[in-house]
Amino acid sequence: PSNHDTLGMVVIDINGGVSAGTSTNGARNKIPGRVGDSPIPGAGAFADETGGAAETGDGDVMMRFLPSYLTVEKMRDGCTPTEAAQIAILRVRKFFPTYMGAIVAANKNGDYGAACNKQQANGMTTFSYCVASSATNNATIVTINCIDDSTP
Amino acid sequence: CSYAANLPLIVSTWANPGFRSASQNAWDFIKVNNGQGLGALVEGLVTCQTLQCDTTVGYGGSPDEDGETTLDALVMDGTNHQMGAVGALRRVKDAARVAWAVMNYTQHSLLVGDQATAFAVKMGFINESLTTNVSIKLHKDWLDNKCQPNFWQIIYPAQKNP
Repeated sequence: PSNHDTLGMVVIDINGGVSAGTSTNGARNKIPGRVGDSPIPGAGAFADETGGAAETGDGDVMMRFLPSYLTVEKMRDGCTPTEAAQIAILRVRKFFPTYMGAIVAANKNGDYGAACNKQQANGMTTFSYCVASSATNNATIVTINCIDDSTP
Repeated sequence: CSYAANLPLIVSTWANPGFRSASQNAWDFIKVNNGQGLGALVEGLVTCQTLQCDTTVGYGGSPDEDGETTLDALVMDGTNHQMGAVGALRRVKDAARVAWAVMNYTQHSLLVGDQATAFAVKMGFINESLTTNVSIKLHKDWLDNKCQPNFWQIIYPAQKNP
């Protein structure tokens, strides 16, 4: 997937302070004036005092579900970052089973995770993201398997 | 599953070399500026803009139907719910820092299009073309391919090949 990639980033500082953000040039061949999910709070990224999330993928579809907001809200309710991101991914999947999308998330305690939508043949089935902390001391790559309807 | 890591912590989408550099630079920044989470975030975002990660971040990529590259960016501080963002930013390369300027120097949250460009110029950013030989070729190939793929629907003549 090289058409909808976006940098989304979540930072937890030493005091547990959360920030999140995005930067992108959007979808290739977009109609002039099109704005995607990236600059929309709760869609492209969201941060509050409990945690943060950021997403990448088909922004036109994803922004209708505020997946980053939903992910943070689920972390607030006690879900792990991975569980929370999975809930948000599946929420979109219910209406758009073939969309390309992934979410990274972290909470103020330093737990982190991610989820992505498993696409049909030739689509995305895994997603790689980066983590850097004093545990790794450098940016390390984590690869996850994408989820589908069979995920609990 | 999720994993507990020691703070501070950087988590970011994608892992191709440019994206990994963004994560690394954010980490390097926060390591020497403890407590500067937002600074690390901006540092990471700017890294990908400069490296034009996968030509999907920053100038010279994803040309629109007119061949122009326009940028979207957001920075959000969860501690006190501050944010700044730009949408369809034209002719300014550093979208993340313009978003940061919206957060810091205005009471607004989101500026768009040409007016966002005017704001950026007022803040000292350079007004310059975001087109490169790469984006020119992407656009030309798309025109040669009868404008496929595209994002239109239910319109005559049929805009999208099945």
